[in-house]
Amino acid sequence: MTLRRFVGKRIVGILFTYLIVATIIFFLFRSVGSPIGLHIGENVSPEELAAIEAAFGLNQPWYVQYGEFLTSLFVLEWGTSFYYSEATTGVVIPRLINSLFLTIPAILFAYVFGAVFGVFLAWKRGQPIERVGLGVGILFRSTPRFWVGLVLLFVFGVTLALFPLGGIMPAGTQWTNHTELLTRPVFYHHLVLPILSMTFYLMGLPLLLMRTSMLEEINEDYVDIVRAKGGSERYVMYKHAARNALLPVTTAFAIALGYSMGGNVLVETVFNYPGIGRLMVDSVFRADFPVAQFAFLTMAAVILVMNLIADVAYAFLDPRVRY
Amino acid sequence: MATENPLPRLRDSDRIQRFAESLQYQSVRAREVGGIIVSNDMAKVGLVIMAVFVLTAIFAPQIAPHDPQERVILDDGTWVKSHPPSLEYPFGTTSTAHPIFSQVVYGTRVAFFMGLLTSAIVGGFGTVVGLVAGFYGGRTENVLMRIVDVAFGVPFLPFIIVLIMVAGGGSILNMIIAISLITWRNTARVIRAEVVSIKEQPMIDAARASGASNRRIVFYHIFPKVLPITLLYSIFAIGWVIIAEAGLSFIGLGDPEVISWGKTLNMAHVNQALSNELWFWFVPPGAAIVLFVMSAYLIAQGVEEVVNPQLREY
Repeated sequence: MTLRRFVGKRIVGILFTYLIVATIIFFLFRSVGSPIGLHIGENVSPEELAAIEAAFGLNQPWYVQYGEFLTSLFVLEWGTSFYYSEATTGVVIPRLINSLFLTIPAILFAYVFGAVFGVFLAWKRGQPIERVGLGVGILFRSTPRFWVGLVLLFVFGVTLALFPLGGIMPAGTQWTNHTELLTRPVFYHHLVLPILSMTFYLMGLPLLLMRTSMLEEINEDYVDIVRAKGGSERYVMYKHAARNALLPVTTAFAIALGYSMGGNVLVETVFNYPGIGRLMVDSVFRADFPVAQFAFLTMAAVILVMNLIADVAYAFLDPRVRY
Repeated sequence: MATENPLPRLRDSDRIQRFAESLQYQSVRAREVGGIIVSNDMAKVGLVIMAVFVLTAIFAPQIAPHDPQERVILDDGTWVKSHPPSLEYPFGTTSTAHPIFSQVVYGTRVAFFMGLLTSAIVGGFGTVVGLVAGFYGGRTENVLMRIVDVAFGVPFLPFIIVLIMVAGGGSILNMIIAISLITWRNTARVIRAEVVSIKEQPMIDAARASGASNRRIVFYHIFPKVLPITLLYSIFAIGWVIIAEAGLSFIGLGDPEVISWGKTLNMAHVNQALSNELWFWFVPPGAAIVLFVMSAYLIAQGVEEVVNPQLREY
């Protein structure tokens, strides 16, 4: 099979998976009951209620709604939010971008530092420092991100008052678009603590993965050859073994980027940060189906695309991989 | 014909003897595996911490000086509110006069209930799916692995949140089921991959040549070999369920009847423990979560040496 056919096959597989995930979500949300009742006052006549339901298409039989839902998946026309009364895409997309401001730096820090420390631990195999490092890696994996957020917020926000207590900008600040945000130093000030609370947890996996991968790598013959040629231990580890050991970490990086969007829901709650995860949770509580569905399916799409990229990157980077 | 067996029929006494031999073999193997796990220093530390948690869960009523559900009210009728840690109240009290130490101690029981039940469901279900998919292959494998793909395609926490909302709110059981519904995906995928490689070993051909049925091959020859992997991913599931429950409770989707560590964190957050500087309200339950999950993962380090012998130090 050529690489192109492999990629084509995976894309078809992912579209199929996405369709099933979307279907499950559609029926899960519909099984809760009509969401309209939550959003209107008590003095609404049955006729008016019916009119509102008709406006949102909720009076149609489920298969008509399902059909419209499936079409909306492909034309990216997601209807109107019950809560915000504006186009769903306009509500969700800016929140997605907000979340990426947290997720991308957090994962980059986590994987760069995690990989470097992982190599170090494999290098120091059998020494006490390895045990300590390994313990720290496991400690990171065991710590809930939102709790780290609470502790950081308490120490650096409340007690030392070095950082703001939450949000994306100081309360009452006007800003119109994301490019403008990027030019305001106070915006970065708001990002430090949430990014830090995610980084610790996310660093655990690349650290442990890199170490395991290195331990397999340093038994290979080429490592002995580099040593025999007189390369220093640091040179052997970082210039030769680490490059090959990086492969599983690279794919884990892509996959982690996909999943972290959903995992950061709680950090966004702690820091009162307007991200996509918190938007989804709030919308679920408000029974705002269009927004909750779109936010959920956006996160699912990111996961699937990142999984695809991980697979392709793996096949591309390692010529030994048969697909 | 399927009923015709070229081997002589076994007498019952032979069967019993064979069963005894296989039991003996399995117990020797179990002792070997146990030895590898315990010889790992990390696992030793994990087992010690876990033992402390086990004792705490068993003797919770003796260890906790107060009832976690009841307010601490003095004889003169005053509530002991937001009391900092002292000998009488080791972790202090909440702003609603609840003893935090007792909440954390009793939370251990909730953690064990969730951890053990989830790891059993995830391990059992994931292993069966992985075994069936890997061993039978073909269309069965295709269908099962596509279902696993779907489970891998959903964002973990958001999906659980939706499930719990649909189920009408969080109860401990709802949470366990919702979390298990996703986490079996890891076990199934890894077990399948392992079964596919075991299936190629000559030992399986030998078993088949001597007349073993599919069922016998799966249960007697393949299953014992993947058991350490099942164990490993079941231990991971303990970590996932404790952290996920804490998160769900934290955003208010927890079981209203149960005081778990996540619930204590939720109460702290809702009652502004942060801005009132009541650090002793949210630090102990979080530390308990970290220690509990960490001890499970440390034990997993030992199990990993069984699964992946390359990691072993000699």
